Amino acid sequence: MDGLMMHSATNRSIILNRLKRFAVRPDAPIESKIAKNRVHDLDALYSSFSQALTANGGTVIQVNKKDGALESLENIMKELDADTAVISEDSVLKTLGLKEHLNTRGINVLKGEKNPTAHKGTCFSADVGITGADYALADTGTIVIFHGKNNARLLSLAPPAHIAIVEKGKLLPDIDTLVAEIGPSRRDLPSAMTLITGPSLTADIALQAIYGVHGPKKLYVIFIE
Amino acid sequence: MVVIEPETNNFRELVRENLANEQQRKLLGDFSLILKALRDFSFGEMADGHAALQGGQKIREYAVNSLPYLLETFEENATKAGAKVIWARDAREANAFIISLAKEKGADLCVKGKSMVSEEIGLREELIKNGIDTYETDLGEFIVQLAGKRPFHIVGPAINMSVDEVSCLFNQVLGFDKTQNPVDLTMAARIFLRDKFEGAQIGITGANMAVAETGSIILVENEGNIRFSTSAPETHIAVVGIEKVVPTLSDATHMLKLLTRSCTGQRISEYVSVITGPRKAGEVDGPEELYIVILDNGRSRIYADEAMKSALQCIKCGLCAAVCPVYTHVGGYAYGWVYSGPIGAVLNPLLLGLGKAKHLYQATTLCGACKDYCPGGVDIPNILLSLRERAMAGDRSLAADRPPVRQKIFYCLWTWVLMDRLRYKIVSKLFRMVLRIAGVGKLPILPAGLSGWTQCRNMPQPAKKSFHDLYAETSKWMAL
Amino acid sequence: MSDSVALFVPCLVDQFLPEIGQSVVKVFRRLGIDFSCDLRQTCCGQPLINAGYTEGAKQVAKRFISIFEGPDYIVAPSGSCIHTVREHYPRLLADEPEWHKRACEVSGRSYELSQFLVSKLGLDDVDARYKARACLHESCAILRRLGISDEPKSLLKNVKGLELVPLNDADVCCGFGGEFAAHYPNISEAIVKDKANNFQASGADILILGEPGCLLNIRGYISHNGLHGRVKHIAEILAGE
Repeated sequence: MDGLMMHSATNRSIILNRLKRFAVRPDAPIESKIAKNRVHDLDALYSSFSQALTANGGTVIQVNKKDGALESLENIMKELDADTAVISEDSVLKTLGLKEHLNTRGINVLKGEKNPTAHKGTCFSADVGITGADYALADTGTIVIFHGKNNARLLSLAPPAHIAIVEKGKLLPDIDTLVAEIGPSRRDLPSAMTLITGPSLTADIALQAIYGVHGPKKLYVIFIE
Repeated sequence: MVVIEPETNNFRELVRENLANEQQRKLLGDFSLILKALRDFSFGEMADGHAALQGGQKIREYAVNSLPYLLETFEENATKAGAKVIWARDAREANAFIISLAKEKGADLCVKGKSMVSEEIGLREELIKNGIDTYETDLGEFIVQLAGKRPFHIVGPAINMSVDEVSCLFNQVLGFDKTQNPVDLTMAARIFLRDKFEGAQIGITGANMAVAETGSIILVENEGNIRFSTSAPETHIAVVGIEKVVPTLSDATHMLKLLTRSCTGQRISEYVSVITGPRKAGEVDGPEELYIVILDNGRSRIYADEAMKSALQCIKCGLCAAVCPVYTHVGGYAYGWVYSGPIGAVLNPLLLGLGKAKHLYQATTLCGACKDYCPGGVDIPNILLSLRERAMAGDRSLAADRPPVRQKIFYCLWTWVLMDRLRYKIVSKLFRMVLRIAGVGKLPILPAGLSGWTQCRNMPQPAKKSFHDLYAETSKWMAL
Repeated sequence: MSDSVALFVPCLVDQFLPEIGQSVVKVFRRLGIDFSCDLRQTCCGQPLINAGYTEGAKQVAKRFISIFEGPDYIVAPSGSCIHTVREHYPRLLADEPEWHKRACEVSGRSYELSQFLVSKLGLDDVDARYKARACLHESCAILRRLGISDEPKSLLKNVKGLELVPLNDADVCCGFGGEFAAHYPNISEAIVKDKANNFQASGADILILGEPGCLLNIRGYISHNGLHGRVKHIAEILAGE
């Protein structure tokens, strides 16, 4: 391996030097352009979001408070006929007392594992994955999850259904505002940021649109005021 | 498994074969129409689609012009985020590194996302040859892997296979029950591949973009297989061509808008992963290690060539193929290698050598639709003309064949005729006389180079008197 | 107008379609445009450029430039020829500064016919009369390389008796591509067949276009296959019946 790493260093010089003979230095700083700060009309944003994601095969719900969220969740679980769920460590879910509530309704909330193999196992076996989301983009109906300790990746990917509970205040107009919102901490991005705009989709067999090929077949987004 | 050797010089045979396939032609024609319509609709939805397109072209031009400096910044930031950046000059080096890494990790199972650059270097075949089970996880790529075929189309690798054919394939190779229901087939693939996602030690992908500002790579998909490949295994290897870098995150999001709209008419794909380094402390999934293999494989040679350089601005959206009259009739197989359509006509010769792909840059009408639609700003028609120039000159640096002597003599004579008015007059008069004697309609005596015309067209009746003759006889004009 | 206008005769027009040249002359005379036709001209060298034979193309370009350096406007009933002069001449002669300058000058004064009439002379009505139901094929060089689309349409709209109907995929290539048609005939045939089918489906009796090469291609296919309809150059329509 060391031999190959050294090789890499040599290759690097060769490639870069060759390119530099024909390149020009960037004449602008390598920094994203920041969009102007705007006041957001959350209702209008919600409306756009809902339209966009619904058109793309997701389900969008708006609830007033904690009870509304729990009720919506129950209905979804019934609809899915779900027995088991994995939930993230997202603070919104903690505030809702989600784990306790689901337990009382007979849904087995699988234990959050610290071991990657065990974690894979629970994610692959759960019926539903419930997470929060860091932002929601109105024009495309996209939720944005910053993966980290509080929102593991496989929770929103492996189970056949994914429910995201998002504070309405996290709605942004579009992806450009998202970049601006991330701001100077662009340089401290999470290990993975996933933008989700609908259920998993393929048309690879005879151009037939089929949901749930690898990722979840169902996506629900619940906005809480 | 099939080791994919280029068939780029088999062009005429492949074209004949593919043109004869009526069903395939109908599929290609319909699919191209749909893709173009979806693209137009999604661009029409934008506040100013044309400005957005031009903006994208500028970003790519700027990025390519400053490529090495941006690559350095990318490497710096990716490394700060914990990724290991490896540089590979060619396919051999990239594969050697990846195999050696896999062996060091004791890996015996690898899952792969769709990546054209990995097909370019034959990575999957190398892994399998070295005892590492490797599965394509994009459904279309999975199907063609099982079938041992080349991908049919950039956007839909297996859409030319019927449900029945896929069912027989799954039954034969994987022992699945036969079914006429594509949902059942898809679910069967899902179950099979979930097992691989869970058990694989290595996930390999390409990257749609590498962002210099943040050291991130961006991956775009609809199925979720890339998210799995980059989240479940302990090691993630991303193979990235040197041309993939863009300066900033806002540049990347701009290109994202153009990429998904150009590729499938989507405002955004179902999933976009922005990956910045491996997983951080305290995270329970994501790879422990992220290796980014930056690959040259002939790109720096293209870069050094001013006439060819804009080819590196390509963002691999596949739209050029959808709007190309040639591709729409002959299909992807005819291009004989990884890249097809107009960008294939440019990249295959540049990467394989002009002599190895000599028909690809000749078999085009230079209609320019590709250039009009290209979000990257690749000047395909002019690159094609430049490739023809280099072929005519026998340019060894691009591995062209020896200059075509007979052709050069022919064009030399043609030039000689055009350089003098009297010569032109006499030769063209003789030419017209010969044609008139032979008569209108099929002319079996046309020289080999031109007889193609009369296969499906009548020869135009040459004028008794040329326009020059008529004009010279000024009295004729009074009668008009 | 007092500016001098030189007629640039595409070689395909000279050899196979002189009636197109005659039509241009007729239109110019009707409009009272004083023009010249320098009979030293032979060809712009486009086939040489397309073949990649630059040494020949350069010579032919220089000859063309020398001939056409005088007049204020150079007008051709062809987009590809004008595109050759506009885009390729300066590029071909880029490493000879003196010639490059001359190429740029000539290039700046070169126009395709419809663009000349509408954008330069400000005329979209040339007092033409042609009774027919017709559709318009938008040739690649004219539409995409030169960015000309409105001009031919506004000219045709004012032709008395002419009924214009839409042509499906009017902006898609006809499959000519110069030598491509002869060297890759099966692909060319596939493409021109689509064009011919769209023409048949349009209900038009005449297909109008601005490119001699496209004309020979589509007309040759139609006559070979016994299909309905005629193909005419826009100059012929503007010259009138």
